[in-house]
Amino acid sequence: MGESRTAPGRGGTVRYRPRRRGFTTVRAGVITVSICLVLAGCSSAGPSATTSTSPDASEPGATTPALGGTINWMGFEGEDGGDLPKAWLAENNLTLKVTSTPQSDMVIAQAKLGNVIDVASVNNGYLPVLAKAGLLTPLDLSRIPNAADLFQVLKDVDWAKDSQGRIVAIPMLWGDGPTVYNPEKVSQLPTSPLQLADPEWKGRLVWLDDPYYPLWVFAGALGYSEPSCLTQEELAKVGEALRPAIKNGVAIAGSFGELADYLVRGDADLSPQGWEAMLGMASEKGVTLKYGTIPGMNAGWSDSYVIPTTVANIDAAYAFIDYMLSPEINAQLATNLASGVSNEKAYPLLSPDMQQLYDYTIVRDPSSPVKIPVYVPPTDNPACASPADWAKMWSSLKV
Amino acid sequence: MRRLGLLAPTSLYLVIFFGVPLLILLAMSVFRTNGFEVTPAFDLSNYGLALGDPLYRHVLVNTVIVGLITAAITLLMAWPLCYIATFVFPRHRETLFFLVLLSLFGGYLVRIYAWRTILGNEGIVNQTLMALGLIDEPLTFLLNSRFAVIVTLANFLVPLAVLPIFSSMQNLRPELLEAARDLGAGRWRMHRTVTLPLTLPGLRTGFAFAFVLAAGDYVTPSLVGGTSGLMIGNVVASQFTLAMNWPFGAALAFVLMAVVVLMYVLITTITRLALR
Repeated sequence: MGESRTAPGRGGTVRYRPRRRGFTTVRAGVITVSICLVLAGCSSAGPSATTSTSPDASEPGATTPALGGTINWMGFEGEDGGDLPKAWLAENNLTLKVTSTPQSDMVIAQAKLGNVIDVASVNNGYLPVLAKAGLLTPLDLSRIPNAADLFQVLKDVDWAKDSQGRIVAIPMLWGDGPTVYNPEKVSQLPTSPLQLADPEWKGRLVWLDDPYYPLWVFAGALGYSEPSCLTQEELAKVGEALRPAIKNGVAIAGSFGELADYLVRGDADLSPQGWEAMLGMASEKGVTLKYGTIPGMNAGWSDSYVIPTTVANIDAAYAFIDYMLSPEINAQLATNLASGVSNEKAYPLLSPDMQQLYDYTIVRDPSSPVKIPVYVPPTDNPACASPADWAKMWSSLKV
Repeated sequence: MRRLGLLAPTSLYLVIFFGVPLLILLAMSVFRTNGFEVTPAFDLSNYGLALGDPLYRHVLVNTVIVGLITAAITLLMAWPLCYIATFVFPRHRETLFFLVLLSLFGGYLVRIYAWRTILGNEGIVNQTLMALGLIDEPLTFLLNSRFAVIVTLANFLVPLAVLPIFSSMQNLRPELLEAARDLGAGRWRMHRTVTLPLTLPGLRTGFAFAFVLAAGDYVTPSLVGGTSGLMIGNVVASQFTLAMNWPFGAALAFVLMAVVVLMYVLITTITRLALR
């Protein structure tokens, strides 16, 4: 779970979550080792060890049977709820087995290996990949009554559906990606991401290690209508446009905490990718930061609960998702993780500070200019450069 | 047989926790990936990409350069330290050795963050130089640069290199040095013909420690390397996480391993020949 942080000028206490997008370098070594263990475990257990059931979404409204057993949960640290569901789990004779991952790709890997996952928390950028790989169970919304109270925008987003239009994900949390800066050193934000490549920003930026978002933003700024689907030539052009902006940076940080640290220590003035909670991190060290929006550079994110096809305890999985989406729990979870609530009925339960943390028109109003897009490139369209191509381009910008 | 039995626990541990994962990683390196999906296959194209692509070759060369410079600086600091402790202050050598080891207790990450504080724009070095009027603006090359990576790594690796060098120096009898001097050898010749050859095993091991750890490191370049300090360890890590191209990441890891072994053999051969 995150530590307690106080947002400056807000007076309230919010808990910040570990970063979800980008790359936590320190964890990479652990992942490398765990891959081997995962594979070893898989090869010894074999596919038959996973009591995989392919639930049929065409049977809605089944009565909730008595619960019990284990819920195998996998996802971002803290999004399992920590202590929040403890009483509910005990009441229902359930045990929550939590596996935290720094990235959604681990969910894909585990599901592909056939390992049991009852509920997973996945970033919206990776949902299409999971859905296209047939790894997600189409959800029976009659078994998740609280889903009826999702904010309008979150009820009808393409990334939560499979190719047949069936809902496969329930958004739990969301946020936007503002630019965070030191107001003593930055009087005016750029009016376009492309301006970050100007010499005036030399030695003043700090970037987040994320192979998709900066390229996606620059592709949009260069006028590509589908910035996540670029040809190799287009990707090369975007990379060349982004290169001077990256080189204007002093560092490529591995987490939001590190980004805040660079701004606090005065080694950088502006972080193009940021998170509102960075203000709280900085204020604890006596530095005031601000956040704002560079037009074209404030895409949102959302993390959703899904039921992978390797589910073993589907009744408990549905019940758990519904419980976590209930207004009280959703509000507490969002507060703990400094995120936005997805259940509209949870919004009034938030403290005034938390209500102000995000612009809720993003999820209320479908015409809001800030969207929650999928910026991870598609894996099944040969016309588009693949995620590996994007990752390689990102690496080349760091040389 | 009994001796072999004594080796069994260690061997078993190494086989289970090193050998088997390494074999799995080796198998993984010839698999294919389609998007985020890994498919079992026997495909050497990952190795072709790792060795043939100009980007990865460039990063590999950069890694080797950083590894070599770091190892060289580490040995240049560690060897005199051990010599002074052993022959100049023989009565206090254990204390000096302990003090060097003490710096290992600080922890790896703590030390990196300490260097960030020291080398940053508002760090001790820049603030001192500005206070003395030697510079008007902070020296930005101190942090977030290859310089910072090498300084940070060398600082961490010196105590590790001291261990084998100090150990090998304890077997060097002072009479040999005195004999060399009595026979007319100057200070440099004495070191070249007596001290260095006799401490070569320790130097080799120290070099191996420093080079392997520096070349394989990815945390230090991430934290103090800036926007141009990419090393092959960072690429390997990103393949296993962001890109989710495990087969390519595994192939890169084996290429790195091969390069490190090759460099070690090369350097030890050259030093052996040079000191003959």
